[in-house]
Amino acid sequence: MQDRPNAVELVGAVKHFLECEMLPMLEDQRARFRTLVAVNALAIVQRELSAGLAPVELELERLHALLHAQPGYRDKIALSGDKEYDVRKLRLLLARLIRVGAADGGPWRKTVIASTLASVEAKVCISNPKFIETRNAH
Amino acid sequence: MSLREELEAYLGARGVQVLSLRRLAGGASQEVWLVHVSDDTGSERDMVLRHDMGGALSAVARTRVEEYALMKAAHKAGVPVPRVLYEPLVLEEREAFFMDFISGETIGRRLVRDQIYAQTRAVLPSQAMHALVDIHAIETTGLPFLCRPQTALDLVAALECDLEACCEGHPALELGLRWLRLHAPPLERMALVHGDFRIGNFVVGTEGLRGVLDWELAHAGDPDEDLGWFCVRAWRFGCDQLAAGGITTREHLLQLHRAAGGHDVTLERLRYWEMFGNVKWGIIALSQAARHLRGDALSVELATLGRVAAEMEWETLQLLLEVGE
Repeated sequence: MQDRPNAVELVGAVKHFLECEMLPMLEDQRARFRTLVAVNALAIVQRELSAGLAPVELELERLHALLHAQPGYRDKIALSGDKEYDVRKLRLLLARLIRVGAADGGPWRKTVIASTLASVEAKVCISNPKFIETRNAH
Repeated sequence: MSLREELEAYLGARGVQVLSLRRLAGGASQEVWLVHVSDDTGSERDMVLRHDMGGALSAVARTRVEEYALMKAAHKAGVPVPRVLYEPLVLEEREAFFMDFISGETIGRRLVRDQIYAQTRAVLPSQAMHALVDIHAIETTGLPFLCRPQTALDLVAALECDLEACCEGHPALELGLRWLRLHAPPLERMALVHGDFRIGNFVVGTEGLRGVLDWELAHAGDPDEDLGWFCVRAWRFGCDQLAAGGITTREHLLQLHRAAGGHDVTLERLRYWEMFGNVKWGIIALSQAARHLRGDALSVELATLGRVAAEMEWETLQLLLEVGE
């Protein structure tokens, strides 16, 4: 195990450097804009590191629940144990099924939408938590 | 030769001296430069240089030469648009062209939210609809690169390919694409579609609209696509109670479109193209991130767009829940 600062803290140090030391020195509008984009990217990294694997595991559970009775599941289910890789694989399977019309109607469609919404919200909670907050306020 | 030296040679031959050169913010797929020049009489002015960055916004994006032709046609048709200058040229082996600099606000967030633009917001929707009706009336015969008009189904098929090329599964966008496929309206009228008509692509003074920018997504197709794009949530800058660009309601937008001489558009058709716009912007965001990931154009700005796409996925699902299908 590494000594402190840990990964979140190191990213925080770089973010502080960009925001509090670099940004005030920059006059060029384009450089300022891109620095703000970089600061925002580091904030995403901090949230993602802090959340750990929990959101990935939850999405994997949702995908298994959604797909276990669907054609193709057995082939794809040669899962690797790498949870992020498995989520990718199952997301692709779900995407293919939707594209060929498997979720056009019926009770499965409702489950697909609800499950997909939960996974999308989990992504946005990391990438832009304010988006969800302001949306829910409306 | 450096870019500046190439510019000096090109403009020098036209009796214009380059005094300064500054890259402007904005433009994820092309470089935009502010060029301050003086002519033989010593009078100074600003021009804008749009320069290709290599790697297009999408497979159907217009080249700089085509964009030049579109803006020239728009200017001729009386659309508020910067006047293009000279002829298209090649700088550092990439296409470019000059146009007039129009001063004014281009930051959409300020236009939608700042108090100093409160009066502007009262007139901007109507001005925007007049400009849009004029754009849709532009004669396309002189623009052969537009090819045949694209139906909604053509556009959906192209988006499916673009999403496929990103090599990752996106179930929310697939649900949107599937709905768009099943509900595609027939092409009832054909027009030049601007393709990126939204507040963030306007130059605006306190008196209102001065110029419509960024013609690189223009194509021949259904004019209603531009109205739906204008209503996409991402262009409202948080003012979601006013669905049309954060400055008016969908209903009022359609009334103003009619009052400006445009055809009748139903809310149902507007909703179709709004859904289309959300899915399209989500897929563009992913495609832009893929350019960074492939190493075609390394940029923190492009990279983070890969994480912005989830917001369009969220909105797509909300719209699907609202239509109740």
